[in-house]
Amino acid sequence: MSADDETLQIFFSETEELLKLAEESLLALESTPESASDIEQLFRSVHTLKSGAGMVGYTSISDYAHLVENLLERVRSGKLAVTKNLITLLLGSIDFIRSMVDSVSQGEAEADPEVLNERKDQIKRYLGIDGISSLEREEPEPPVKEAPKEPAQEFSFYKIDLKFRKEFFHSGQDPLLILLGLSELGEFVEVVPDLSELPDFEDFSMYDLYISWQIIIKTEMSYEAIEDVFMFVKDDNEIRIEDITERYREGIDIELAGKKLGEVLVEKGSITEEVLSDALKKQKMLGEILVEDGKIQPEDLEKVVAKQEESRAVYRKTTLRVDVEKIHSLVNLAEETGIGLSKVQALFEKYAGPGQMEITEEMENLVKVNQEFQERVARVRMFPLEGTFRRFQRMARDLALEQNKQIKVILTGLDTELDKEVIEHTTDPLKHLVRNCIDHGLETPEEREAKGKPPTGIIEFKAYQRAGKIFVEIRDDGKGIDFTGIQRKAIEKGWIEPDQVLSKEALLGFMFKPGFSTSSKVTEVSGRGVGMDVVKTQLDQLGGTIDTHTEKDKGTTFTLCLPLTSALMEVLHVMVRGISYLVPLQSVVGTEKFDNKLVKSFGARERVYPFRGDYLPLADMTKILDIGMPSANGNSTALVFIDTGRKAFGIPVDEVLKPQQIIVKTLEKNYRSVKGLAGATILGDGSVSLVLDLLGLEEIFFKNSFEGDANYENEEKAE
Amino acid sequence: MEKHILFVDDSPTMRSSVSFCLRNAGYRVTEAVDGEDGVEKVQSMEEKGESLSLIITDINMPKMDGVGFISKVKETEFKFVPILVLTTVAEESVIKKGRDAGASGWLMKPFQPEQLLWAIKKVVWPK
Repeated sequence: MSADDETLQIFFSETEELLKLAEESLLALESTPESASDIEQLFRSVHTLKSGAGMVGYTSISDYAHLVENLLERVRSGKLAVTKNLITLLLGSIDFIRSMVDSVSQGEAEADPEVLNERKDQIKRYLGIDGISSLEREEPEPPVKEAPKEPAQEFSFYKIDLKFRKEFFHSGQDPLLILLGLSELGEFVEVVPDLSELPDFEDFSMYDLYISWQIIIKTEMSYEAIEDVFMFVKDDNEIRIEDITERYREGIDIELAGKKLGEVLVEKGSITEEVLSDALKKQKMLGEILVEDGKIQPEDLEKVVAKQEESRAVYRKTTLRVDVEKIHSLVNLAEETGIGLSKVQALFEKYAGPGQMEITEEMENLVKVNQEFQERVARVRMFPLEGTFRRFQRMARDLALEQNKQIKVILTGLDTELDKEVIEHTTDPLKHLVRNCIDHGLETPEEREAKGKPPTGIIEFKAYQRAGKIFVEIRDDGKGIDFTGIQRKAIEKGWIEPDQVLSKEALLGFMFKPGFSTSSKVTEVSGRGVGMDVVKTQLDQLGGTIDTHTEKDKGTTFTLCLPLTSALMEVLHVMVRGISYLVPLQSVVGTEKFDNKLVKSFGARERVYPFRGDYLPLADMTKILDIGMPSANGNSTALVFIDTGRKAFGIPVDEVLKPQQIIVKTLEKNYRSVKGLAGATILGDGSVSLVLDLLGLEEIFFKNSFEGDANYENEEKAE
Repeated sequence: MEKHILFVDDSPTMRSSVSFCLRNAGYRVTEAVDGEDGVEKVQSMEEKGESLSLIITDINMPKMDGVGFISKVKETEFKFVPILVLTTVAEESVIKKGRDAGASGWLMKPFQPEQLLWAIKKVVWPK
């Protein structure tokens, strides 16, 4: 930012102050090298100085201060110890900055370029960056790009889906400003607002946003320029930009399809407005009249008509907008057909008779066809993963740059499709995994070269479908997961005994436990603070799993296994007091025969039961769901053991039936949301069964005893 | 009427140069030296019934940082006023923190006047 004289004067006096502060803290650090407050003050001074110099246009000072700041960041995050040598170097840097500031205040150049480079190299050696090659990387990216002006070849058409958060206005945003910004880039060919989310008047809140838009824009601008419009909002909202120029191939303008022939003819200059209105008055087929009157040659007319037909065909093929409700009802119908089929199947078994073999065989075929039908219908709601992957490509690149690491991002399986909802819920876990790969997996170019690897690391995102599941892989070729680090941390946390030997799988399991993080400090750069446990919780909720494969210095691969659609769920069918419930299978760790003698009472109301060497609390369904008297001694015959990731417990049940795959229907739509219940479904025999929400259940049952539990665990550790 | 912008930053250089640029562009600017001062300015505007079109705030400040400041603003009647946070390149996490607190956008230091005005255009209605 160019500055006026007054600003410059302020800059000089502020810089003087900052340099003095920096010096003070450096001298204090000399006697107490660990003092966090001095390190913080030193860091802040240089940081502020850097920004200020940048603002008034002294880029050499700003660049140099930036390097010093990087060095201090390492000190601050504990990666670099404060030594006498370092303090000497830093004092020298401060002096050098001061000499540059003095020069500019006298109207001279900031520094001799040679001296400056020498000084920079000195700091880079400490940072472990080799001289010139990394200069580019040091250059901050232009932070806010001006809308690029260079035109792409001819026009492009983009389809833009805008679905903003309901709370959009709360962050001071305005969708109309965004539409306005977009409209400056080109011409809106089509704008379709979606008002279906608008609630009834009584439920309407003027502070919420209910409308979403679909826009087709014709523009000379690049994809990036369009994306820039959404810079502030693209991470929190669903913004999809699609280049649909391809669909306009062979010069067919889909606009033609929507226009009247007369309009097109006038536009093409074949006839004039007057001729058109005269012809229209005659109320015959427009084309015929024009030819009859000799206003147009039959061939010319044919050409335009053919063109229009062609365009209409393309138009029909490319745009099919369907109300989402229609798809939901299809899903429902497909499902009901399935239920009907199983009923009929059961009847055939019951009333056995001649020819049953053949009938059964045919029925089985029909069931298979129906399954595929259900799957296809579910597929209508699916989107390719491309958009999500592209976002992570960018994120990985930015993160690596910040840490002076070099990476190449490979994306495969971009066409792989996933249910919209599953995509939404997978974004967060993926973010954590990418962070993990870059922060912990990937080495710096120097480290890599020392190991004989190419300096540029590789991160690969890969998606594919197999056996009715979607797999998403994130692979890096970094240093692999540090098992001794995990073990140390687990011992520190008191999860295992110091001499305990554990399998690699068991150690990896700790990584996804709440409260686990191998790096002792949360760095500013990665901005973590939430651990990998979030990944597991979110995947559990989706009904997905994660598999980790790691090899020292070869790298790590995380494989996420996701359901095709969030609505399909694997459940275990159980009976409690004659009512059937469905327990999400991925949280079930085991089932056992119930032996009343093994129950131990713990406190007034808690009962525990031994399971695989542990005592797990029992969650009595009869208590929490208020379905009659608590089964004190009970008629429970079996126990289902659950691990929600946060807590493990057992549920006493009367009967364990078979596992099955169901489509969950939410209760909100037909009733209201109920804590502890994820939804309901109709079983093969036509009866309704409730699906348990284990996290909710856990909260209801254990929320009062959480504190007690924590104490209990601590006591256990103390022993 | 002139659009009114509150600019919160602990660096006098930043305050001077940004205010200079904003005033040149025809905005009325109120400055605050840190989060606490910012809260006081906002509260006094609230009492006087002044209008406020935009808040621009640094994140890394003594006394009360930008995140704390934003959450205080969200308790006032100016909670729907757009907020731009200032960050530097190395602070991607800051953008996230700001956004979680309810900021509308961000701007990376150092920036050119055009970049500042470009970011403002994204969140404030044109005059």
